[in-house]
Amino acid sequence: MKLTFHATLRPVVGERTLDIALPPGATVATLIEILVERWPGLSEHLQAEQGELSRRVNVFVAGRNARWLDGAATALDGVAEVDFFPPIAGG
Amino acid sequence: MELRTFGRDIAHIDLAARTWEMRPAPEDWVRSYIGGRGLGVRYLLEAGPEVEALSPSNVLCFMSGPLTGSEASMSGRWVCVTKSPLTGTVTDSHQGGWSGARLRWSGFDGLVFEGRASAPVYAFIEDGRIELRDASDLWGKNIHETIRILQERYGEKDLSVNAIGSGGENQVRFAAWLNEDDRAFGRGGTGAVGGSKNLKAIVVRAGKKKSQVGDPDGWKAARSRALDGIRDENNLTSPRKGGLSIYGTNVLMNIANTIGALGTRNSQFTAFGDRAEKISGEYVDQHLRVGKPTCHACPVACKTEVEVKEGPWAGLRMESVEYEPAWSLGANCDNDDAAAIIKLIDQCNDLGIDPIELGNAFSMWMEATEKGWVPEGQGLAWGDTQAMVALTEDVAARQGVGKALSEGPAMAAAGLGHPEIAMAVKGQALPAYDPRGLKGMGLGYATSNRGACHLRAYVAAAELGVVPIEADPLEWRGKGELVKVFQDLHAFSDSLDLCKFSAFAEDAEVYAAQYASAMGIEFGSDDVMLAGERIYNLERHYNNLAGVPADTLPARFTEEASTEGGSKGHVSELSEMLVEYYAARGWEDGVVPNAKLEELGIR
Repeated sequence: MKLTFHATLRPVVGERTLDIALPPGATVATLIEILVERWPGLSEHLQAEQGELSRRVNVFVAGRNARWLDGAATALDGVAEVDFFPPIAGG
Repeated sequence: MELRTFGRDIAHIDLAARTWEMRPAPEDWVRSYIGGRGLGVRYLLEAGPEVEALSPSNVLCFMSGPLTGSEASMSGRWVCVTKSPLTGTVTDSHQGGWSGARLRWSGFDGLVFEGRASAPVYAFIEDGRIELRDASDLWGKNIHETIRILQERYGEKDLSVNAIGSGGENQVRFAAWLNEDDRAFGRGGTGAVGGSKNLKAIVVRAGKKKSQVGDPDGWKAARSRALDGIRDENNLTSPRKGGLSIYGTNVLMNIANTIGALGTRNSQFTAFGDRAEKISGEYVDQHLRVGKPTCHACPVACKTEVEVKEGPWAGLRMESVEYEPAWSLGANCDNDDAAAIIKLIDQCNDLGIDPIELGNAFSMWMEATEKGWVPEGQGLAWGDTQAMVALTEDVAARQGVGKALSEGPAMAAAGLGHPEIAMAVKGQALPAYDPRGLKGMGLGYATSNRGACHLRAYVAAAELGVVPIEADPLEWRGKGELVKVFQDLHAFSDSLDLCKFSAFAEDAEVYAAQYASAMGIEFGSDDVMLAGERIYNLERHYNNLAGVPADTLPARFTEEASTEGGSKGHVSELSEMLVEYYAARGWEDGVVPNAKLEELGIR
């Protein structure tokens, strides 16, 4: 799976993209746990109350915001790309 | 000296007679339409909706709002309101920087230009006085040079210069006004109206003044609350921490690409693949940024000053690479050269033309070229940046192929016999959010009172998950009511006149507290929404009287499915959304009925 970090999340990870292999049955919550373990600085951006997505991040699974799918429980089996964005808007 | 409470100091300038007089705005107009956009539209209605946009009978209103130039955060905005030569609608276009603040500090709340000068003039404004001075030596010069000359003449301290370039002088239908080289009244062709009136520039010299407010304690508390929201580290506006503050508006490039809302090749495709990164805010920040300027009273500082480091435009320094032109002249034209985009934006800023409209004119012409609809020798290839740079000059000069494109993509495509390839609504080109990937934005474009516009509603704030409102961008249900609410809220903030981005941190209650304390009146969040609704209906009423065509989108968005990204396979369900929207508005097929006018007190 290809992960892409955007805007203010990119300097925290130090990379624009990275490849990662997830165990079968992994969800967005699983992925966030793995990422926070590797980059503790992501914790304040990605982690919220148990089972919920933080308002400080928008996780896009194959181009769809997980918020409109199953949230943190969104399944990642067979997903090729996940993008991480902080809250973003503008003109 | 202190700023007077808003509404008493409106200057009416008769360009033909070269005279002016101060007339306070009628009290009921200020009460009903607040200031800025709302008050400007009310003056425009007075001139008559049937007026020809480029005739002396049109009026050109430059309006500040009750908060412009005050200590309120993000209050450096003012607005130009006129009848658009591009769309035939009412148009309002807002500008940042310091010129709006300086207008108020100079003793004026608004300027209403009427008639046409017999020879080029510029307005010099200082200490409550206006002089119309000879601009014959400036006519024919572009904006950067005009501003430099006037800065040399009057000194840079406390000076703001708004000018038109050759685009405005030649009455390109999407000509703009620019202040201090880079900040535009960009959309709708306000610069062409200036050119039609022989008005070359507006020069304001004024030092800062403190606000005179009706409720000083309430004013302090309300401003503090607003600022706390802007500074909240969870917020994209957070200074030097939030995405908008660090990367500017072009932080949107990658997210639009990801979700399939980045129109590419004249919106034939909905994403730009890996090439989007090369024109993104992140790329510009890392490779091209040299400064972070800001506007009056704004801690967000979303502007990005850049310098081209290599290639044919090495050494070019300018501000700012906003998302809209980075898209319109970039992905939309199959161009991933950030340096070329900077060059093209700077040309637009110098010639005084709207880069959104220009980019759409180019992409339409490129598609027509690809399909063999352009006469031999007049084609434009996808991503040909050298040709785009050369053609930009021709558009401003209205010569060669540029003459057709200077009418805007809608008229130019109609001239080719293929109006279907113009991505425009009511004659104004679409901005950078594809309606198939952000369905509420599509409804916002269709129902905007100034033609396709992202800023009238900007429900992207909800659809992109920034504000805590549940709004799946691919769900059409519920978007009618949502778009109405956002349009009404922004009609109010545009009338205050606060930066649109304040809405990422402030709600109707925060707006109401600032306005009420500034004016010394009782005013709540319900009053905010009611005033916004009244202003939006006033604009629509004007358009109804002017015979503006129906709310629609190009068929590409309703019939051709999205090709890529999260929106793949989707079209815009515009018809269904319009039913919801008209029901929420109480309109009859886009027309404001008399009962609604009476309900809102519109006369």
